Amino acid sequence: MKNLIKADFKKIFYLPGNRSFLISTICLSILLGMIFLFTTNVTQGRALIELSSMEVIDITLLGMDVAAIMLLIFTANFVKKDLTSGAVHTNLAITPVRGNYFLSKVSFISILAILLSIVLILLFFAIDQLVLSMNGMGGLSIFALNIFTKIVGSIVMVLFYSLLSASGTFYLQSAFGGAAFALSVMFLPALIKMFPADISDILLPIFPEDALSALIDVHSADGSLLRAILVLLLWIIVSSLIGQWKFKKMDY
Amino acid sequence: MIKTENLTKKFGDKTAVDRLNLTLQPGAVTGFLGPNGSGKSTTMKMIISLVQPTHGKVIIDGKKYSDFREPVKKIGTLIDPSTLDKNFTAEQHLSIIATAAGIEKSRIEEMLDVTGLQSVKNKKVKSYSLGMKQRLGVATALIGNPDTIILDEPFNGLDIDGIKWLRKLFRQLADHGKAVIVSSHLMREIEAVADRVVIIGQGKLLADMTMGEMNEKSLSSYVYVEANDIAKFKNVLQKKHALIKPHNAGLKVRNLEASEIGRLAHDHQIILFQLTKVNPSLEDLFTEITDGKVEYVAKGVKTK
Repeated sequence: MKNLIKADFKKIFYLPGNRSFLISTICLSILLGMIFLFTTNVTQGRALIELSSMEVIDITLLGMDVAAIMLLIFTANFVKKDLTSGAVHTNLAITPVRGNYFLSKVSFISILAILLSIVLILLFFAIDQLVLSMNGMGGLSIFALNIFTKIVGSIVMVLFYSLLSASGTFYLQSAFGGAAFALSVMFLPALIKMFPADISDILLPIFPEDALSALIDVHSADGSLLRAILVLLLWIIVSSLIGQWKFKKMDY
Repeated sequence: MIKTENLTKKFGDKTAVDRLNLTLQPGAVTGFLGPNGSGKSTTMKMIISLVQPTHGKVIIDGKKYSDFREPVKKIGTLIDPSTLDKNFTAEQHLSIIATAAGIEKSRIEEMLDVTGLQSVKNKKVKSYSLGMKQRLGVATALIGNPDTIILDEPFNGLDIDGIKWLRKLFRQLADHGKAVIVSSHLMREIEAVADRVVIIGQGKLLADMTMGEMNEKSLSSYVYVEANDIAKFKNVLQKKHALIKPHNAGLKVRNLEASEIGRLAHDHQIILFQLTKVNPSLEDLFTEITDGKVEYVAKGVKTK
């Protein structure tokens, strides 16, 4: 397992395309985070200096949504590339136990998502500190409980959608399918909110959006942290089992 | 030793491999032959668990392929010459394989030397010819120093030097006690290198024997005779239940050994001008054995 994860990291290190995509993910996430922060006049009708420190970090962390989208696309492409004819023959000759192969891929994606998220969080935090100090707005402590939960919640969000994308790709055997599955789960709640409340109230809790919001903003969760973790775990476990089941019975 | 027991694979209604019982021995090059769609590749894929059998099983030294802790040290395969990613260099490709399989790094350089890719190891695989990709595929198959090497159409795209190199490599591997299983549609290459030949058609085992045994049993082998009194000799041979067919100035004789034909000529005071044992080429044998077992035939084209 450790060897397979190391080999996957080598694939990133060796291929400029992979490296560029990940660097672009970081740059784009920060850029959009900054755009959100410096356009509050337009989006919220309030100047930057009118915001609290917590609101500043809240707004810049919207850049993590961009990271989640970019990384789920990266995941789908990365997994699919290893499932193409030729590559899959070599990969499964090395790791014929498909459950182990699936687990190694999921572990690699998890490590990558967590590492990338941590890098981004640190960058966002540094930029926010700079912006706040430049505007004389007081500092932020990463260890303050409400900020720490936001950070953990943001990391979980990036990890969650990447894992959904991986499972979707294993199930559908297509990069487009895998990414589309994760994106649908991400954006369907917005569509559901357009339905009457008696329908949307039933459907929305099933989707992970509420659960992720609960994780990121614990205070708004009405103590439903456990339910949020349960919903997210169910999504990951069920999609992984289905993806793995399809992968195990595939003939290559 | 690899053993298949009643190995069967069905894709919907179509039976690709039908109750195949095979034993692939170490220390020999086994040619794996069959017409297109005969089930060669499916069988090879089932050996390394790429395709799940519908019935039956493959046993490798008493275990399933997936039961081995380091399977690439048991079987090395070349099923498809395409690599993990065409943007890798040969060295990077082998490095990733070695890392994933837990193989020592020294094997990378060794394989680049063995396959003659040392000088192009830093070039991207997308710039390689098919022959170079085949060499890299062979390097991938051999990197774990496996006991068994399975190669599907390894001669494809190789030039004359490449073909000679591969023949020599197969011989060396077999001489070192490894089982080499090679499928190819290039009969001459199999003929030049194989100790045994396995022929399958429509998923069924049609032949599994040494080249010598195959020549002996084949209807395509015959004894050609020319004599001073061909009509008299024909009668003599027919009384001995020989199958006779006129050919040029002589006769093609089947069902009788050359020594027996020589003795009959002597007993009947017939002078022989020529007595030659003719062995068929592998292509003749293949055509003979797979007659009627060809899956895909173009309309209007005779297969024999």
